[in-house]
Amino acid sequence: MKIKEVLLLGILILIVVFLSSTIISQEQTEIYCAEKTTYGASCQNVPLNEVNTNYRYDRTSCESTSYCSEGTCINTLTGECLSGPQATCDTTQGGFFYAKPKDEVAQCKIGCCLLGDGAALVEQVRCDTLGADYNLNPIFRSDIQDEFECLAMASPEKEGACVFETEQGRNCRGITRGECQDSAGEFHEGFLCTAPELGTTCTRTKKTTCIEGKNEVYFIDSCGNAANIYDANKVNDVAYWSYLPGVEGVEVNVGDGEGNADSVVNGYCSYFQGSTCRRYDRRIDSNLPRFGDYICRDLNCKASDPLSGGQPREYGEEWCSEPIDNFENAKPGQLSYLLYCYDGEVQYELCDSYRNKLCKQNETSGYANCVINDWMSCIEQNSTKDCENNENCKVLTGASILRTAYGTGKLIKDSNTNNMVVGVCVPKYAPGFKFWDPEGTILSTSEETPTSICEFSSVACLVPYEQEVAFITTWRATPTTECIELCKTTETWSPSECYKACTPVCFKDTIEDKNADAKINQTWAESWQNLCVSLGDCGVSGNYFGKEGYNRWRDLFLGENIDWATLPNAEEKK
Amino acid sequence: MYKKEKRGQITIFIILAILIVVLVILFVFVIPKAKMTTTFNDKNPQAFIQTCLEDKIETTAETIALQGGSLAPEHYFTFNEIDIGYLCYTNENYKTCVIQKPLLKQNIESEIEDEIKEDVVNCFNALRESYERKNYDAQMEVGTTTIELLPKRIVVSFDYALTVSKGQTDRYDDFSVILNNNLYELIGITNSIVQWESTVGDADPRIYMTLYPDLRVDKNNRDDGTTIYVLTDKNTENKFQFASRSLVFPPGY
Repeated sequence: MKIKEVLLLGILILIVVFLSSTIISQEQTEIYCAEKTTYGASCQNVPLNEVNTNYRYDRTSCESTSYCSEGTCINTLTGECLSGPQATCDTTQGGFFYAKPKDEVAQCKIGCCLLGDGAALVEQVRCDTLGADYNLNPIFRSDIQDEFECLAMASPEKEGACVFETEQGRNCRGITRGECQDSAGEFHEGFLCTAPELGTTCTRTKKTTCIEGKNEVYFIDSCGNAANIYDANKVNDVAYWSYLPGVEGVEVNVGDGEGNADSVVNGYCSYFQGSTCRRYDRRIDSNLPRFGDYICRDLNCKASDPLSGGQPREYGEEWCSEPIDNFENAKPGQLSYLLYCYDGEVQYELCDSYRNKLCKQNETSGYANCVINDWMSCIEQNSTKDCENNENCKVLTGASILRTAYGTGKLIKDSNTNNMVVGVCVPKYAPGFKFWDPEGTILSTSEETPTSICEFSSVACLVPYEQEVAFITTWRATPTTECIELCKTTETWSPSECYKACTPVCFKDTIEDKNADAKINQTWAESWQNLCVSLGDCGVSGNYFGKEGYNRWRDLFLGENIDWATLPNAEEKK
Repeated sequence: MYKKEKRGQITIFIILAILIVVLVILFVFVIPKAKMTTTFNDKNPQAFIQTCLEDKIETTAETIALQGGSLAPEHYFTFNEIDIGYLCYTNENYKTCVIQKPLLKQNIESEIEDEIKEDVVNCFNALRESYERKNYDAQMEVGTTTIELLPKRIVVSFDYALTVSKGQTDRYDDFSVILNNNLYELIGITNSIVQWESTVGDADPRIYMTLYPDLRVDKNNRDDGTTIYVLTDKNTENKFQFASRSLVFPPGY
């Protein structure tokens, strides 16, 4: 007969709590759809105390109401179609509401709008409005739905010199044929006003200018007309000052073919290659143009820019504040930023205050973007393969978040061996919490426990030690009978498998005598520590600036009759 | 003798310094006001109205543009000490926002109209009084004010008529104020960003900066899920800023 002496040696409770968090108690409140809230927002699902009762409201979600369900609001004055509810589509201001998605409303179907020498893919009403706003006759092509096809349709009007007889002589303006006809001038297609054969009062100059909507630097004549693109070698070239490019053999010199940034002689700038026309500024531009006051400004970012990371950045280059891999063991306050170089300046964008989005750089394409850190889906994964297929997750062995019906940690399927192992799929990049706010910041996952994300890594480990033969055999950790019985009814395992599954592993298997302190299983403790910190800003951690945290691991592991010297990282605060 | 000469020189320098200071004060404070009052030309009442109202319209448009399209936004986020109105908002997490002002252009036009209403009346009264001071008999027919945001300009038209007589009678009924301003263009881009925010919960400033070389778009994400967009025209430094809260993932999800 077996002598059973169950000795409660230690109740080890691992309570890993987020240091300054409190828990929000989520009350079940009735939600109303408010046409207007007390704080002035339109169409929100809110509790009754936030409803502005001077407007319409109903005890239902806004999707179920007529006034706040999503539809399409057409601005009949501008022709724009925007998705939105009826409540905000004010008819007195020119709104017209359709209770249909935008793509089902005929007036909102887009097409190619040809306007002057430009083209854009817009709604038909918008095309008409743009025509009125810009004083042009628009042509709407509903059969063209592709943006590139539409842009290719844009046909610049023929330009040339428009000559007017005045008392002072033959005046001239460089405009389009249509504009010249409207002005009752004499049009000379392909000519510049400085062409000698036109005999105008306009003469060549050494001045240059920028033109709105264009990137290049242009010569200007004495009448203020833009001539051809600035080329210092052609400042006195009669043909270059007589004809537009493509006429009478006049050609534009593309210079270095890379945008001619800071070139003193060439004004053929290229925005997509990192240069554009700007007035010369000796504080910014490194070279003074040979003629005129304008230059192809270098739009690349200099290494001296405090956000460039100490290296020159090309125009349009994008990068992350730090590699995404750095967030595998993210610390409180560690945030990810997307940076980009535009117009000679580095701009930045915080991906998310709580690491729900992280900046990721594609090593091959060089593109960087803020991507969603889908860490919540990790916990649901049941096999190591499923876990590893999600790039935001990783497998952690030796600890488990979910519990079985008989109280042990739920196992995960090892896809390599097909065995069930103690483990869990956890976030690869730990999310961040609102650690600085003492009011409840960590959301409850449900009304049941656990009430905070960090509490997923809390575990109570009760270890009965038993001496099979009194005074002879050693004291050994044994499973409880209840656990084994429940295991046998739940799983299709043999008794020995259930015995193994129910045997606690948090302490060393044996103790020396009845009164000795139990020694912590180091692998087990480390696994739980890792699980804890991988769930977010939980457990023991210094902040991003290296300041140590408030607690030590020793403060978070509680229990009796335990040899605390065996707790790994016991005094660590970072 | 030498000491006396030196003292005399110092006195002259002090007098000169005082004169310079007085001139500077006159130049900075008095001359601009004088300019305001001397713009009245009885043959050109339109110029009087333009001068009288353009500053007010300009500052109103600027304030509205910095506050998300409202002079006194009802629902706003305070950023850099400015209350910036939400143009797209949801109080919930994981959901895209509801567009708050689909008729933004008209909203802004009526906000400007309301704000300048009093100044319009005052300016037209001042115009009438200016004629009366010059012994004209002036009759004013009060009408409506129309604000139009148009490409690169704001046009304010007044349906007022002024009949003045002193020997002969002249009638002026074509009053307007035209301001160089690109609010029209910035509103168009704002609507596009708001549309993205309401459908996918986010908008990429890089797309707009690539399409519009003269535009700078700054995106400031705040910790409650609000995003502040700041659109700046690099040529004019005109700004339009607004707030949006869309597709928010709360802390710890």
